[in-house]
Amino acid sequence: MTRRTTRWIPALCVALLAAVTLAGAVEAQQPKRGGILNIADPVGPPVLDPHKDGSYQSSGMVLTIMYEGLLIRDEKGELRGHLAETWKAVSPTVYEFKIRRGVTFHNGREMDSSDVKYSFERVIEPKTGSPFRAIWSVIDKVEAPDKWTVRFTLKYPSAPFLNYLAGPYAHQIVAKEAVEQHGDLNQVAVGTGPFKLVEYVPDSHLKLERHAGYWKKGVPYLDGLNIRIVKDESARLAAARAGATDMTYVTAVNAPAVKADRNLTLVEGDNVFYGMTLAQFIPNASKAPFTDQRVRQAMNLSIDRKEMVDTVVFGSGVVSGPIPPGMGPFAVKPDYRVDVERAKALLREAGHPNGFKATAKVSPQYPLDVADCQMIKAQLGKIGIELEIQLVEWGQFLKEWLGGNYDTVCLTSGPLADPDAFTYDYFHSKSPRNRAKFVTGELDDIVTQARQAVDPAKRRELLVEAQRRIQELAPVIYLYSANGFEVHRTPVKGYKPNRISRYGLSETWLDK
Amino acid sequence: MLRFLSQRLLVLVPVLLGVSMLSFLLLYLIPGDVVDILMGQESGEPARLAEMRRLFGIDRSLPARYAEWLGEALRGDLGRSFVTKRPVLSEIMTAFPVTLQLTAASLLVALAAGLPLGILVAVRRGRASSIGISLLVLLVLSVPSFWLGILLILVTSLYLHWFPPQGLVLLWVQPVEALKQLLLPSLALGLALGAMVMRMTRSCILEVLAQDYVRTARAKGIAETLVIGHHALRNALIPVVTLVGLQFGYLLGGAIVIEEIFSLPGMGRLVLRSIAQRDFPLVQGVLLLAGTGVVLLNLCVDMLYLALDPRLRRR
Repeated sequence: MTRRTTRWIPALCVALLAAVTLAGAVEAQQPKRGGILNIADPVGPPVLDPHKDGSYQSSGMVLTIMYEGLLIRDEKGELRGHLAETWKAVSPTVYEFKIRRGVTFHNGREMDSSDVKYSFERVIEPKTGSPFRAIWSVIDKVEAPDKWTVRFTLKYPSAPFLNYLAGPYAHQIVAKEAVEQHGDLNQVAVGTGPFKLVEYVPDSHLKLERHAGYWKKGVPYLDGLNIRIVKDESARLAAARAGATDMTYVTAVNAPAVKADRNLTLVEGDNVFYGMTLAQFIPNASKAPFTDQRVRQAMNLSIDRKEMVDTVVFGSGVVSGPIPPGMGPFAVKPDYRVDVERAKALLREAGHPNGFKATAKVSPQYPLDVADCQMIKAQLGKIGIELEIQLVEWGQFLKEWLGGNYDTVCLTSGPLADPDAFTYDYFHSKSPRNRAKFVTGELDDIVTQARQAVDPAKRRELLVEAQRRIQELAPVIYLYSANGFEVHRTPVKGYKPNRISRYGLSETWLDK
Repeated sequence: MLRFLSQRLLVLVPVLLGVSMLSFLLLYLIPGDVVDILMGQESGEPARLAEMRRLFGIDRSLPARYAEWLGEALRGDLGRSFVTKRPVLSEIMTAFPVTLQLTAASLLVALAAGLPLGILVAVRRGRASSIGISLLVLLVLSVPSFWLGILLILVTSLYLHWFPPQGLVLLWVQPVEALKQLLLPSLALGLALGAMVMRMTRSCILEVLAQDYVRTARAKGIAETLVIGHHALRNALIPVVTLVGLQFGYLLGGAIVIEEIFSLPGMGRLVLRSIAQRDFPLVQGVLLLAGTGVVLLNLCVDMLYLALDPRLRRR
């Protein structure tokens, strides 16, 4: 060969090398199929029936992978069609949904409008014993005029209705034959979701495998999921560090250890599972001296929320009002100031110049609540209110709090799907979920209007006004909203976290 | 012998009746019920709650509920768990083998460590090695077993990069995996028990070695190993058998803390969960089993005495 002809050989080599490297780089971005993801969860679902389990924070970790609803929320919190392709409001109380074709249940049968009708009627039926019946009893009737259309007629206009169709309260579509064959869905799961149940041992583990007939083409990428219930947080963290589990959850105290480990990624935020909790201090508004608004406002003025966030959750949270800031633009960012002098003055006006004694009940099953209580005790001590903290076991705590047998409680609630729950459910005098025994009826008007305002702009206005009034009356002393912490081993890719759903596992893949 | 056995087995009847009545009463007295737990913070309309209570059957009077439960139990039906809706018997049969294998493994560790050490320390009494071992054992005894458990997990996972498989692995289903799983928790439990066994063995042997017949045996020229192994040990073992028997019965009820740390779905976790959830049928079932276990175990221990102590056989 002459010199001329051999000059292109090095150039060709470089070109080939570049091509191979580029291909490699591009390939690294493409999801890889296959593999089993190991997950360690702190709690497991007591039963698998999506219409019967009231503890969506445990069952939500599993049910959101096996079952689906008509709508779903995307990363921005916007409602999107899921099992329903399109929908429209025919009138303020009538909604029509077009059902997606080609959706198969785990047993192979295609889903249609009769399944939607069946599912919602099952939730509303008193004999089912669903804890979420109250939410869906806004429905007057469900009709399936043809195979691909469902029509809901409501008893009154309801702003939260569409939001609730995206979950997490018994919004899932189930297969009628599964219920008839087994009596209930407590130990079996026949849904339409990306993964189907293979094995379930309560309080121990669940094995799920890929639903080959899943309606969304191309997903899920994983072959299956191995979910183990590991209650102890240090054991979960050790499992993640040793590679025995690929995904798990921790609290703020273990976040530094996760960050220090090269093999682990920490996902933190309010839109992460167990995120957007709402820590509260709730006085009994039906019991003296808390019946007096001035006493409640005095307490509101003496609590330093920023100090609590820094101390209890090491800064991983935000100060919050009645609606946690992460919920949406209608959540008002509170402007709390600590004013001990004004607080003392209010107490004097209310007839307690030297403060008073009261008890604060809290459940030791929730250590963060106990920490909150201790800080509140210290802070309220400055204005002369002496709190005696009583540690009460959870079952007993529920009984006493719900029965109105308390002075104050320290409690955290989990994320809720719609602001209506934070306003109407908590504060309407006739609401069975009235949080603070606030039954004067002063908030009834505004919360009812906000519930029925279907127009988003009007609703936002009303919600803002409701929050302002709630803060003024202070039936609940709001503290902060904490972040959730998810731990992933580095090969876990593609998971989009969400505080009430693990549907993101449908697009997760293992890079190994 | 047969009469002795049947007499002892008859004791089961009043014991189980007593246990079931007491636990029913206690559960009833504890504030809160399964409906409160299931509804949690979202608990609502009184009508709804009353209806749920009726569905669970917990709205009736206590004697009526006990009578119904007793009737069914006598027919072998322990009912269904309020929370998981599975039959109580199958819940227990899922958890019991896990506890059984943990208990057996822990006892093996305890005996393997405690007996030889106890004998060694007794025989070499006063020597430096004996004092050293005693101190070490005292340390193990003072440390809580759950702390030991967490420490073991940390050490093996962080430094050896080995984490035991968690969850339900049965010995007769997957022997190798099960042994891997049992290693750390049985060490955590077994070492603590082994320390007790060692101390008991040591003091019993010392006591026996001071007896006249031992002096006689030594005077007769019998080898020391035979003196201790044959003459002394059998007599010294009786209190040790009592200790181990009692501990076995106690452990069968579930080593709650160890099971929580190692995520073993055994009786301990089952009991804890069912009480926290006010799951009446499940608690009753578990306590019934525990009561039966204790009675049967005491019977076995007594039989073991008969084997060990010929003086008892003459009665």
